[in-house]
Amino acid sequence: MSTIKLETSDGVKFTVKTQVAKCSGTIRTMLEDIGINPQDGEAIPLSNVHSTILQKILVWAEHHVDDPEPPREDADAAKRTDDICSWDEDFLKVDQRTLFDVMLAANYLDMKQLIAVCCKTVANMIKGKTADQIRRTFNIENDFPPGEEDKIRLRNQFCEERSR
Amino acid sequence: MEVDQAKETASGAIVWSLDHLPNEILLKIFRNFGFWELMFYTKISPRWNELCFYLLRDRVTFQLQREMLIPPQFWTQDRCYRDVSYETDYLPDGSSFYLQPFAEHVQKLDLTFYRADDGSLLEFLRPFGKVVTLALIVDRLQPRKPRPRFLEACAGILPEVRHLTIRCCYLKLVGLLAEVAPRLVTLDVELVVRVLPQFFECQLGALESLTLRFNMTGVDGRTIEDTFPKAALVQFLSQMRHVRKLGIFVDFFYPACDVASALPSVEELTVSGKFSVMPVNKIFNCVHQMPLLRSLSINVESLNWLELDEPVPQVAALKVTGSIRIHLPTLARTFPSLRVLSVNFPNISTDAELSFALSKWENTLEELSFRISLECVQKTAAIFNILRKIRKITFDFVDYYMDDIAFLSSIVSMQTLQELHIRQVGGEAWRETVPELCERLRCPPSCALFVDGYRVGLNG
Repeated sequence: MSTIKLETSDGVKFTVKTQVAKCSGTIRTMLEDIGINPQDGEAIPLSNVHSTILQKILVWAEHHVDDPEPPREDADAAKRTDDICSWDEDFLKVDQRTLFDVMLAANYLDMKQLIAVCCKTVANMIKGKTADQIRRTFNIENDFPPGEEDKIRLRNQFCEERSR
Repeated sequence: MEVDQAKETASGAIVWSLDHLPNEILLKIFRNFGFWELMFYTKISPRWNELCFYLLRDRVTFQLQREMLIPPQFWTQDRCYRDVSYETDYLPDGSSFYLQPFAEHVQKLDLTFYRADDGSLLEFLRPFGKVVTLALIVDRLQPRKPRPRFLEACAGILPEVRHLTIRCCYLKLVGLLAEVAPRLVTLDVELVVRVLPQFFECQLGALESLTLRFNMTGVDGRTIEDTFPKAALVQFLSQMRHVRKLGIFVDFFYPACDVASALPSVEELTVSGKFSVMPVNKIFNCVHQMPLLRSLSINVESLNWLELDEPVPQVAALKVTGSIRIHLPTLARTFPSLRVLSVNFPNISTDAELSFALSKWENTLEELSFRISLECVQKTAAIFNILRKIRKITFDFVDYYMDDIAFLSSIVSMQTLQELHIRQVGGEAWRETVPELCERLRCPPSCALFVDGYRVGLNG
């Protein structure tokens, strides 16, 4: 089975099955379109990904390597967030910083299904909370100028969902 | 994308924050939220406001209030509303001045006034120069400008309008219509008989969809036959070569429906009216002259049966609402090629009648919607198996309570069925029991079950 080498931002090299590495759209493009030849033995540099995060992402990719492509969805339709499989749920039981680093890395590596499941996890963490709880949980600064938050609340009162 | 990218990266903060994620990832998170959740999250921070509203921009209808017409600072903010509605009893003078920055983003505008004068109405509309879809409903339009000056003021107004709904029988508004008419693709207009000569002056050559609503209020039923300019209307309509979709709404004067025959290229026809005693077949004479007709919607209040003189094999989609009575075998003989059927209260007196009708549509019917009683489906469920191409069935049950839906198992097991929709039009008690019953129904993976639009029983 063919393998390739990946080198993370902190200089750690990983030998990975090519099929697993191709879960990343970015790596797949490098191999198939740009013509980087993994047989040359040179590691593909992943300058935006730390080794601890890549290690975690490779565990996810190994588990999902045979998953079919997800169907296209209507971008405007609200998606379900209660359909995360239990393996992914356990996989993403990590501290916020790790979760966000995985999302950033998955975004850089163009791993759509991993991003989607991370986004659903964060969405579930947001849902059901008050505005103050959300700000506290995610360290979001309320930097509205004085009075602006009230204006937004006022304007929202006159918004209705458009009938399709 | 118009969102601010400046806040994308962390600025050396020690505390990790969701704000350190770039906009593209935050938007992916927010796409998991529904409309009202997104509205709620706009007040978390300016950045969340901007991103949430970016996702909401095409899903919001902003309801303008009269008191908002005064302070301009209310609008000079970060939101651009594309869809605006304004409903008020009286449109005041000079009311559009402060709307300029707000109005220039609006593409769809719904206006409903009980009372307005003609000049104020035009001045109100003027800042909305980008509006593509306009609905204008005015109960009482008071004339103030002389007609020539009104028509002069209409010039160049609303240059982008392509879809117009106009409900106001005032003659001068037909002047406004004339100004925008050459660019219209869709027109839905209410007409009184005396306005028709002015209506005939409009150049509607680009029209693809036309809905005519004849307002017969105050019309003497005995003289309408003499005064209704049917021949002139037919002549006028026959110049519209591109109309594919036609709607005719009449109160009682059925010959108005005949004008549809002036447009033989129509593919979708809607006929609506109240014809309590007359034989219904006269209303639909026109459909026999429409060889391209594919879709027919009938909303007729009548004590009679839905019967046509001849079969209409070209029609593939039929929707019937209103009180008109349906005899399924007759319907099957008249519309033998239906792919989509939606009817209220079909009269199914025997299993043989249902069996006969469904056998006629055995190889064509793909979507079926019945408003029906539970008992009726319970007795006949097995008969639906005859439909070889059926993909979607909707039952609007009229019952107040339901304690067993096991009889639906033969329907959900149909090989080609992809969706079974159950909707309740009865009492509240129904709502408690049916979702639970549906969870218990053994639905094969190939068939999705919906109750009142929500998916249930997700096959484990």
